[in-house]
Amino acid sequence: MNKSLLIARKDLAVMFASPLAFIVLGCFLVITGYFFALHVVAYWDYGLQIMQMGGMTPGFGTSLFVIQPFIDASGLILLFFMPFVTMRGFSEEKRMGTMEVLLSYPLTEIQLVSGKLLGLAGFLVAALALHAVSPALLFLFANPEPLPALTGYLGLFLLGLSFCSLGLFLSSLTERQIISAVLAFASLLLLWLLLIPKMFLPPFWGELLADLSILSHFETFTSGQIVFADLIYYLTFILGFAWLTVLSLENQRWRR
Amino acid sequence: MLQVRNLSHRYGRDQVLHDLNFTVDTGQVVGLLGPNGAGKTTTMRILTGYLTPVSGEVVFDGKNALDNVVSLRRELGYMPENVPLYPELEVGRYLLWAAKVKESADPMAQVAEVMERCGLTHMAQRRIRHLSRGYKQRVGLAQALLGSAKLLILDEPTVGLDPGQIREIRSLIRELGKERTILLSSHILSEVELTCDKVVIINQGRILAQGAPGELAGAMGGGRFLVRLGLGETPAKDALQRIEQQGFVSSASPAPEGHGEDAFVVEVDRTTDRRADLSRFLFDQSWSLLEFRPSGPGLEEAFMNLVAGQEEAAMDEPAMDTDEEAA
Repeated sequence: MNKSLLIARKDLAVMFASPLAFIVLGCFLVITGYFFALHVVAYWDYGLQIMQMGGMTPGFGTSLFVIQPFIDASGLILLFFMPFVTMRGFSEEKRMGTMEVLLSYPLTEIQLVSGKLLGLAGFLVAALALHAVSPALLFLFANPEPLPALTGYLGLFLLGLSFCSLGLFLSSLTERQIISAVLAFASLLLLWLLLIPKMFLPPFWGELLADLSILSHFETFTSGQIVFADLIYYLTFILGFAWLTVLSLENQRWRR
Repeated sequence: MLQVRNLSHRYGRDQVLHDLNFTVDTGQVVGLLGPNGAGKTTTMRILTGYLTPVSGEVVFDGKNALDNVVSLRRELGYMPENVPLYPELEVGRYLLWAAKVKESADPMAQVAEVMERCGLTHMAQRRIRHLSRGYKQRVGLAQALLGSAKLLILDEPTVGLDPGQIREIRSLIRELGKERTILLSSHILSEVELTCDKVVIINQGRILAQGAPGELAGAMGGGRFLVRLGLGETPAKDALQRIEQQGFVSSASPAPEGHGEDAFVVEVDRTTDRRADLSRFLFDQSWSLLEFRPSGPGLEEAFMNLVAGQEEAAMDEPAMDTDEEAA
């Protein structure tokens, strides 16, 4: 079996044998579930008001008023929770000393990093599969458009994997999980806040910073589009930080 | 099988290894012996490819291992000090995973065999966090044995174990040494003396001596023998005088109380093995040789002499610098 897959399987087994994975998963689902309920209630109220005013507004539907804002909000909530998962990555292996054993096995740094990232992707898929239960229920009682929901989940997956890649890189720099989590959270928050200076900076610089923001590329996915530039942004982000993690591990052989 | 050539390493500005040179031959059990902080773990980490040395070479089966770390790791089994494991996993599950990562041809069969050998079969379903220290040590050894490990590197394999567990792990290592090459580190003299064919004494990152435990004891701390004789009519005083007159004898004195009047401690010239000369001389005198054994604690004495000697030398160095500065 591919060694990256073996690393991923081991990481998932270790992750789900500890309460942390369930706590993160549970909190993420409760909070996103709360947002989902708010959006459904708001949609319900808004729908009643429209009916009382005597007609339907074109475009008014659960896709635009429930699923899209729900997935949008979930992206931000994911930003708060993923550092708790990625902090284990390499920091835990270093703290426990298992990194030394891992690096005595016939594994390359690339296999190790891709395996860790695959494990985190597995956790993300599990989280998003459970997260998708709420919007799936809408398909039973209403007729949302399936395509924007699917592209929204693709965007959410790419966004989450970008968080994982950055978090994994930061966890390769320290053996303290809490430092790794704080650094990941601060970096992700900064990448999100790059959107704000757009309001007061000259257009060129404002646009440039907004383009660098990790969440600005997410909006197109939730609106049902797959823009090539956004896809490339996420792939570059994920692969770029994975590559930096490989370099960081190789570099540590020289300066441990 | 393994040659270490001019290996040096430093952490920041601290030089921790100075030009280490030693070899581990196929089938040997070699012990790296030294006090805590001597550089044993750093040496082992370099040999497993976890650390890259500042200079020097590690040649494994004729190839520079540092150029292709992954192929070295294919033939390596490593158990670090304190045996880091995944406490959340069950023993069997962890070993099966390790066997697959270490490219075992038949992971299931090999894990079953290794568990049997390490006495872990009945613990297969138990989570590692619930194991005693001794069993964790066995799991650490078991994972090192998986794959096609020809060379086992064991860092302080018995540290933290109770006497019963130490005996068990030692006998396991001795058994493993019959079919694999082993490099182990320890700061416990008796352990190295009991388990190793060759000892490399290391302190402050420098090799002080290497050789078979008996040879080292003879060369560094030996050369002193207790002989108990059947003197017949010869008075003990005369016998002592005759022994002292031999050219290869440095000194001779009556043995400490309790060994009898006809027992002597004889110190011989240490440049070569003089046991044959001494016994021949004793027989030539028509005395009966009732007891002939090394006097003194053996390797322990050699080790302490070497370490103490190096520390004295290190203490002298700054004093010389100060004299030079004053001049």
